[in-house]
Amino acid sequence: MIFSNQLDHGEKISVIIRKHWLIYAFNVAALVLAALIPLILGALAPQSIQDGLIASGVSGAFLIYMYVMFLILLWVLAFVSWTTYFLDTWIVTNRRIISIDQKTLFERTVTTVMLEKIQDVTVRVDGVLPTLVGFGTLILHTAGDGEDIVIRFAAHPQYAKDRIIEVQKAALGKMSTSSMV
Amino acid sequence: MASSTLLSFFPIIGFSYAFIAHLFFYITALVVCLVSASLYYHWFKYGISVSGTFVIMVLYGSGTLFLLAAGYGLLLQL
Repeated sequence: MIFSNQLDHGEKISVIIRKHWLIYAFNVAALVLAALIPLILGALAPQSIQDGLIASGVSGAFLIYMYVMFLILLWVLAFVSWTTYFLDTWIVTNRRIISIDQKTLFERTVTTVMLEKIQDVTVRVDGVLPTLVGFGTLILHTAGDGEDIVIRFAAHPQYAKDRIIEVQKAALGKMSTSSMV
Repeated sequence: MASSTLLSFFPIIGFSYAFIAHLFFYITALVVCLVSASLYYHWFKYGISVSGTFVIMVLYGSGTLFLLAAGYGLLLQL
């Protein structure tokens, strides 16, 4: 089960919130564009530059070799980007919210907030694209001195908000029942 | 060999083009290996599902190996 190693005994995942896939798609588009730039430059380069390269002894194999090395770096970057996107997660369980902020491969902040500490949940959707595609900022205001949890570019923030409130109500109801007994 | 004529590109440091290309290849391969190891570590450690990890491993590994092999093949032609 995904993220099962993050959970305590008897804890169940209610919803997993991630950034919208479009954010990763933008990263991939940037990498594809970067891969195309040398080809475009090569096609558009004036004949004098091409003649100069040939005259100086630069072989076609060397240029292709450099391009392949460049592609390897872009390929690896795409997977590093995917990994940080996939592991940058907010897990809502029946007891708490685990915020995993995966900035780079070796920079990771994990924050846990118990459901009873959450006071308000705010959804903010700014702009045409977020409205059409369905992503926005989800802010969880916490009680006490703890920092708020801010989820930027969250996919389907309204659904996530509803689920959080639903789970919180269930958790608080269970707590009040057990305290009455 | 192109390397002798390419020598003129590095007159100051005195290395041939082919030498630089070899050095660049092995440094890139080393970096790719280190990043790949850390990627696999993250995929297994932080709970991407087993089937998902397998699919990503095959996709990533085959692409990386293909590009490295292509790079090495071209390197031998320099």
